[in-house]
Amino acid sequence: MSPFRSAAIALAFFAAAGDALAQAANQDQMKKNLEKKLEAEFLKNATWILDYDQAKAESKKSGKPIFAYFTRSYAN
Amino acid sequence: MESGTLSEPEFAEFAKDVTLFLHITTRITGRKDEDLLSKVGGRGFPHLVAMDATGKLFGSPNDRTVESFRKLMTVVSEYGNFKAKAEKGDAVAKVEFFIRALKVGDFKKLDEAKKHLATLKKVSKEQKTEIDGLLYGLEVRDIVEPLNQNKDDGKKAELTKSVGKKLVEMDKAGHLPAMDEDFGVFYSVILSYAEQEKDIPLFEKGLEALKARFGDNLNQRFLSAKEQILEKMKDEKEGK
Repeated sequence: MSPFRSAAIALAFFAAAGDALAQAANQDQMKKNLEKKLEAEFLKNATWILDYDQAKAESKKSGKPIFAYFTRSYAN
Repeated sequence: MESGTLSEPEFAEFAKDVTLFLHITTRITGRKDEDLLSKVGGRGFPHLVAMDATGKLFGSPNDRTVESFRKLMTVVSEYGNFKAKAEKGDAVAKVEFFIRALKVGDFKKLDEAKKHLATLKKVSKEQKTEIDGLLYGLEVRDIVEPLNQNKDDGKKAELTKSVGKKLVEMDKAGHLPAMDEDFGVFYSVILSYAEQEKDIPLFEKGLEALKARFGDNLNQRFLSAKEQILEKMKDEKEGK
């Protein structure tokens, strides 16, 4: 194998490893953002169900329709 | 909204009558229902929507007040209650359920709705009037479909003319769509037709109808643009 090809393979390897590390760090941050969102004050004003299937099951059981609020934690 | 309506004591009261579901888009890979927002037709944040226990969607509140939330949830409750009674054979409930089904968009085509209506008994005069208004909405959707589907700018004028003529006939007959969305489309197309035909009285009538129906909720940019068109039409007529 030529020295140039070896270097190219090594660079590609380090780039991929770098991407994976960056993604892992990003995912950790996303998880922290979610934790922070779940501490929001408005969630203490009423009981919110966070799982869609559970919300549907609860609605079926109680006969109370679902009021759904969609928000995000990944950005403010 | 989170520090406003959703944090108010009035919202806590409202919450007692509904199942509250909070969905958070997190961008965490592999998280359950991460893409639910797009599945329920949401395009941005925040998004509010009413559903029943099956996940059937009933639209969004008109504004972010608890009063609007309650109105919306009443629609869902009534739909479910009348559906249950209709399924047990209650003739009156069958009509009321049909009305709700029309309102929430269960019927996409006029023919389909008319066929269902023909199967109903005990339709009161008031119910018939309400149903007619909802059916006019479906008729409008059928009429404007070729215009909505058209991607050829060369055919736009011709289609506006043929669609506009049909809507003006409906207008003359007093066949006005009941639902806001259909009403808006109805007169918006009539305005385009009136502009194209340089029909000032028709344009004025359409604009007044929209103002009367929507009041301050009428998009101000839309209103301003249409008022400018009206002025231009008048100037052209006077040879200015």
